[in-house]
Amino acid sequence: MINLFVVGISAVLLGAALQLTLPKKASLKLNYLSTAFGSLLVLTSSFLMLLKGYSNTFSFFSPIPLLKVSFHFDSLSEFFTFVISLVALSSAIYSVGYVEELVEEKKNVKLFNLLYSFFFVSMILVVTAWNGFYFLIVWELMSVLSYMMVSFDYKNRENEFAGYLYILMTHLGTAFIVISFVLLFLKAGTFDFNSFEKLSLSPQYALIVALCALIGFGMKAGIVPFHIWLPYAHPVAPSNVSALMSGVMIKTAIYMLLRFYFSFLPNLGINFGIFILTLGTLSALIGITYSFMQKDLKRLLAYSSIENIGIIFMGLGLTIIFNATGHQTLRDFTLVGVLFHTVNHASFKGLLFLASGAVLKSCHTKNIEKLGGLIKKMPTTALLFLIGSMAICALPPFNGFMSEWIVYQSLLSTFKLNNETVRLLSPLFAAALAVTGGLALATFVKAFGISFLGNPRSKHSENAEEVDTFMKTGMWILALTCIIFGIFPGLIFKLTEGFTGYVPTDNLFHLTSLIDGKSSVSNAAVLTALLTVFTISYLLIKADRTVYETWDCGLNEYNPKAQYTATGFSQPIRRIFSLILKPVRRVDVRRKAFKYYTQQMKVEEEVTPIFEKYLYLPTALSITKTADFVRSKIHCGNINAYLFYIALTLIATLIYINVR
Amino acid sequence: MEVLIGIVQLLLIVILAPGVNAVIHKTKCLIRGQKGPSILQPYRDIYKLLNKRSVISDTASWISRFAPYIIFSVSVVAAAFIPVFSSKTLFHFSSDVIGFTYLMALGTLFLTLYGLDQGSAFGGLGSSREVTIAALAEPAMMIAIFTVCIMNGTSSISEIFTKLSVHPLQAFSVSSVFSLLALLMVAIAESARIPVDNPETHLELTMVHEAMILEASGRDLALIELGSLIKQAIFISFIASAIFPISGLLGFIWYLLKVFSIAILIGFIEISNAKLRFFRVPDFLAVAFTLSVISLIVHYLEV
Amino acid sequence: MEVKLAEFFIALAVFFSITIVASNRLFLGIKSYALQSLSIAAATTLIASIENISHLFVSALLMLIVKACIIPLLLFYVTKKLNIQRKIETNVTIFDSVIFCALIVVFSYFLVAKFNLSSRVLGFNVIPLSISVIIIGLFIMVTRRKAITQILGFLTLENGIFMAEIASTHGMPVFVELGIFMDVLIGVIIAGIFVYRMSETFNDIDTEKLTSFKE
Repeated sequence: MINLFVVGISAVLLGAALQLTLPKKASLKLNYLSTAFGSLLVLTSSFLMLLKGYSNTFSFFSPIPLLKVSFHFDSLSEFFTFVISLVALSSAIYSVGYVEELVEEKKNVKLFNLLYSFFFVSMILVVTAWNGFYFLIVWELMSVLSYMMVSFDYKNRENEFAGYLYILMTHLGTAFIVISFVLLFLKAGTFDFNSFEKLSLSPQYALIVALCALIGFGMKAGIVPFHIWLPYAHPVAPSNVSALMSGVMIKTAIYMLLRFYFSFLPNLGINFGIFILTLGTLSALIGITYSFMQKDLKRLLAYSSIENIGIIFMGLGLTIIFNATGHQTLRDFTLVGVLFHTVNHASFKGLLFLASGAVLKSCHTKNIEKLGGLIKKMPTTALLFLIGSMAICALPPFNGFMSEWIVYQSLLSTFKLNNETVRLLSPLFAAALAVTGGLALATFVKAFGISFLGNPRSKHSENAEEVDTFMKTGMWILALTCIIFGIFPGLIFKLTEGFTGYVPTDNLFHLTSLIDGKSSVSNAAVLTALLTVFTISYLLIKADRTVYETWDCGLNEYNPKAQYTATGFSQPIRRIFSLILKPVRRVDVRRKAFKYYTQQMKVEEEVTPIFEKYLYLPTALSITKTADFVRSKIHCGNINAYLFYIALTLIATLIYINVR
Repeated sequence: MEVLIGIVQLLLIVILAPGVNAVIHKTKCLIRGQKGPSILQPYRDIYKLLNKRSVISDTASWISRFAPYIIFSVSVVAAAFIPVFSSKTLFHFSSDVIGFTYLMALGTLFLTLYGLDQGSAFGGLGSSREVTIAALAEPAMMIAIFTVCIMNGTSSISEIFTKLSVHPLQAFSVSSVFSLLALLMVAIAESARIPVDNPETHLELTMVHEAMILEASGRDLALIELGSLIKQAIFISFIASAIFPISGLLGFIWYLLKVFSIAILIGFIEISNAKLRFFRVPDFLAVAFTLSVISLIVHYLEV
Repeated sequence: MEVKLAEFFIALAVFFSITIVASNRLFLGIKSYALQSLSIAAATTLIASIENISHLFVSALLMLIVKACIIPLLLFYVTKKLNIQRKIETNVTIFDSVIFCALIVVFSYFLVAKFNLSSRVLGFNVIPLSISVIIIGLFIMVTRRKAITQILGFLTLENGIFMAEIASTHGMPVFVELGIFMDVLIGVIIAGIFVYRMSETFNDIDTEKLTSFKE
């Protein structure tokens, strides 16, 4: 099994190296097919390892002290390897068709291919690293590689800014990660994860480490209020990369948080759990509200990632709560929910990003206002986008529903706890999750309905064409996983058994909650029932139709501009939630000579990103102000002043040494 | 035998659905001093529509072709979750209440997509409003449901029914009254009734549900309308089943009595209220949310 | 059953304080207030009969007469007499206020659970509900702009205090109770006169206008 894994990784690297020697078009095929092949091998090997419960550590000596290149395989890292390679597989097949565009644009395709393959490998290295020092190196590698791909089209100002913001935020996060590792190192003496696991820290110390890890990895995961880079970086990256970034890269942060909270610091208090739960709920709500307001298809998806990370955090918080109160089975059950939602989000968000990439490729725009009627031009992509949308809205019989159901059940189970706060808050958080679900439905009705249904709103969508087979195949893989994990939730239970220790009593189709052992859901049953009723009604009531034009209030010619716009679609919610969205409306009226008849009218509405405006912008401004002060006053260019600084430093050092 | 009971309960809700609507309508007419159409009128309407060919827009895609069937199927399958006089529904083995609400959302998805599919201006308007109302009704419903679940220590609809029907009088509590009131408000919002939406008008300023199905006709319209009627009947049955449920034959008669009383109550509410402006609807749903919060708090206070 | 009915009426009082918040028309708010007083009166009567405290009957009767009839009628009269625009003007939108009130209810429960302020009547803790009514009353006074609505907020607050009083001390002696009711009535009359004066001076009863008194 481990051999298969090594062969897989080598195949990816070999392909990436060999493609450099080939001409552009061929290099592309070689690189992505070898990546696909490699990730397929990694996928298979991690699947087998999970089933067998394989666990092993490989350490290699390095000349640098404290650094030890060690790889570790246990059920958690294998599970994440499984998720990463799943998305990587479909994204790689998809890329064969997708990256052709870069060839046409005369970009440096070979460099891009190289970055892509290395990015995949770096993610695998992150989730298998077993030494803090080494982990930081591969973590940085992953960040830098993704940064390079975000700003690959660096001449575009938007990309430049997004890349800058991303690298800034991610390094801020890394700083906190370093702090948390150093704090652990101070107690353990080495950077080995083994020794971290054996530590027993005082609660306060553990809390500080946990908070540093939360900020550090939360930055990468995109949890509110550290999410601001995500809606910029994910949309501008090429879609195959955004699928990887949004689908799995932000999950590596979840992976490390799971390691921290359940392996290194297993005794976190209940209040920390409540904190994480609250943070998750806020992220979910804020993420989806902003997502609904977007008219850029990919930015909409990026905000929705924040929502889903929020849901994962809710599960994480609940797990910590159950852990702290000693409800072992509930803890295990919720932990399955966390992992389940992780893999689900990877599959449907990956799918949606790939599908939006297909739209982008054939329409050359990701502005929903300019799309429309694509379902007739790109039927397969439309179907796939619909499947992804239904899965992300947590509708049965798809996979999103199963993991959200587990979160709901865990929220409901808290009434058994002996803690007033949790008992009171969890129904409210369930309500927040419900409104999140409702808004997710609204968001994806908008994303799918406005861009794929109706009539084309511009030339862009009129001339759209269906994408090629490679891209379709890539998307189909993820769509099928959405369906399979939805109908066979037991599969995920089986795969996560090693880490969570939860042994389900059900068969593959059925999922029973722990509240009383009687409430259960079964997507298979619902699907069967739906199909039965559908077939019977379809056969009994024959669809016999006449085709005629849409009613347009009796106007002479049909105008596609009469259709609802994306901005209009989300207007009610924008108005109702104006307290947090703070919408700004711009109306531009162009009149004819006679002032009562308007010739043209343009209404634009935008929401204010409150975190950027009220938290980050003031901070950034004060930092630049300080920097300006330093530059103009202290860094004055006068050589005497500089000598004075040196003298001052010298004296200060001498005093310091003397005092010690 | 169990399957038979399940099928009978399912068919009962499906068959009763247009009748419930007729009772609401009849109540309104009687209060207005009109004679009103016969109770059988909705049945005749649907029968007539089912025999008519439908006209479909040339813009419409396969969404419009399948959506009516899907909406209808979702409603029927959801109806199979609801116990009427016995906890042995067709889905009693996995009748989770959260699963049930999300299943209903599947119907909403296709209804709203149907609205957008023909490229008509009205469809988008209806869909936009529908998703807004659905999203805002969700939290009130969820807290009310959670309260009922916490009270009974289970989230399975059949189990709740069983627990309630063993000791109907003792199981009654103040907080359940508030939960049911909240659910009634949600039901009014979800089944597009006054004061949230007026089912009797085609006025573009006010319509929500009608705007989405403006392009539907013939069999498609029949299916969608039947689906919506079943959805309404499901909500009413859900509330009815939570009020002193009794199992058995007596329970069946008691159920009918409850359903028709709720229908008459809704008729009264409709006749004594004006339709709210669309941007007042969130306030209405916020009150429903507060009601459910009160029910939760009262439950914790009672323990 | 009687116990549950009493609980129900107390919870209903909380609900009516929220309908005051949710109402966008003055009459609706005043009606909600009358209904709130009515349900508190009913709850008081029930508590009096269960616990057999005769002077609570007097309180209930006073509640019924003064707060459920006289004061609402007075407010109706003032509103009609002054031709006040019936729309309620708010600083916070109604949707946000109602959601906020739901949070207030949760918060007051939380407060009581944390500080153990329990005082049980009928095996049912009334304190959190009364605290939430008090805070909601304050909230109405803070966020609503018309003088009439501020009176409504004050009256709601007073009802909350009455609930707390019933719960914690089983009502005060009759004379104290009488005094309080008198005070409230006089207070409302004075406030009514104040509103009347205000509308004479400003042609409006928006309390924003009062800022012009500032130097």
